[in-house]
Amino acid sequence: MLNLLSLSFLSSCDSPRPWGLYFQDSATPQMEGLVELHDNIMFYLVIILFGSPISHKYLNHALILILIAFPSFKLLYLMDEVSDPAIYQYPDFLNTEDEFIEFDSYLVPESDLEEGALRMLEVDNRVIIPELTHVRFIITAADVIHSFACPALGIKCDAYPGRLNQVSVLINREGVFYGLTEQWPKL
Amino acid sequence: MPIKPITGMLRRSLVLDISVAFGLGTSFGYLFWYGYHVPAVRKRDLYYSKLEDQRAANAAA
Amino acid sequence: MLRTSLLRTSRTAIVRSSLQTRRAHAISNPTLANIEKRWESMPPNEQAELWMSLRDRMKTNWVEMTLQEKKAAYYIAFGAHGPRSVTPPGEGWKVAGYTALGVGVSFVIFVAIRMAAGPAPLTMNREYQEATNEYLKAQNSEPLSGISSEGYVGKGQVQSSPKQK
Repeated sequence: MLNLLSLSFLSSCDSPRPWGLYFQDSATPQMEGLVELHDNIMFYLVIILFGSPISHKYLNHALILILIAFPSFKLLYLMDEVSDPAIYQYPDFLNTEDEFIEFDSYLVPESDLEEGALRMLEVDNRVIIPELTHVRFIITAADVIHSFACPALGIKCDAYPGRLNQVSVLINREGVFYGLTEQWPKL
Repeated sequence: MPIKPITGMLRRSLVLDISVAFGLGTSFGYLFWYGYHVPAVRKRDLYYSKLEDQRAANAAA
Repeated sequence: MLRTSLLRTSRTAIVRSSLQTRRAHAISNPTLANIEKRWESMPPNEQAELWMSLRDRMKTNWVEMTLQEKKAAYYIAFGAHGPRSVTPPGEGWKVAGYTALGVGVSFVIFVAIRMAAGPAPLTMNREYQEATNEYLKAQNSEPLSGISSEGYVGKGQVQSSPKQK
């Protein structure tokens, strides 16, 4: 609880940290853009936070919210651009028997965790992607709706059965980036 | 001696309150921006420039 | 247009003067004496009658009202009775007391449920979390402003007490 009071809550992280309130460290340009957008909006929210108790008699908050709208739309559409991926795709990587690389990747159960590994985040086979190359993820699901999310890369993409969704990243630095895929139960 | 008529109270309080509110609000906003956001961005860019130097050094070697 | 407005003002003038003549005399002293003490115990129809007569009096030139009438009118309209009555003594303590009681009950329920909870996961002890810190450092996780950054002072992943043997 005291963590919240210390200024450490403002620091970012690559993997989740206890009581973390801010974003994870960015690793892609789009995540940097998201952080910029967030701080832009936070600027206006701070203005409202400290200004509106005094001025709420005369103004409503809608006027200030209109000011927020312009930079956020600009960034939103900028982010939606999908760059062409590099020539290489995973199917282009052939293993020693000239087969496409396919693998299954499961969460490591608690009983199998090594000392220090992140619970509920570690997997047995990691997806390995080159840095500084445009990478396109094509995402689909087999049974229920899932979602592929990686906060440090700034991506989140829903996976529907029978549908292909794409999301692209350009990773700026080496590292291990954790994400969670969320699952919705059958409705 | 008769006192001056007291007029314009609403206008005066409106101007004062709105200017105080916007003044306070924007000063805290800029505090957040220059106190947290700009140093964080500078730190990140510094890290990436160091990373670039390292990569250049690795490529040269 | 001017003629109809002239007619309208003359009509209201006639009505007004008749109303004025109705209550040309002040309300008597016994009716108004000690109104502050008597108001709440008066039956509603008496209250209504008194208020109506005072309102009629207020329609005249106010300098014709006696001081007692003015005070009575003020008390009935703005005095400390009904919606404006003073809060009874000790009300604040009662509010604080019952609120604290509610908070206490919810806390007790919370503690009871938590005590019935299962054990914490094996990651929630200090040794494990320190190992996680080293693991993250080895991976170069959080290099911008987190655990692998320069000059990082902070707890990292450590948040629990040491493992109970």
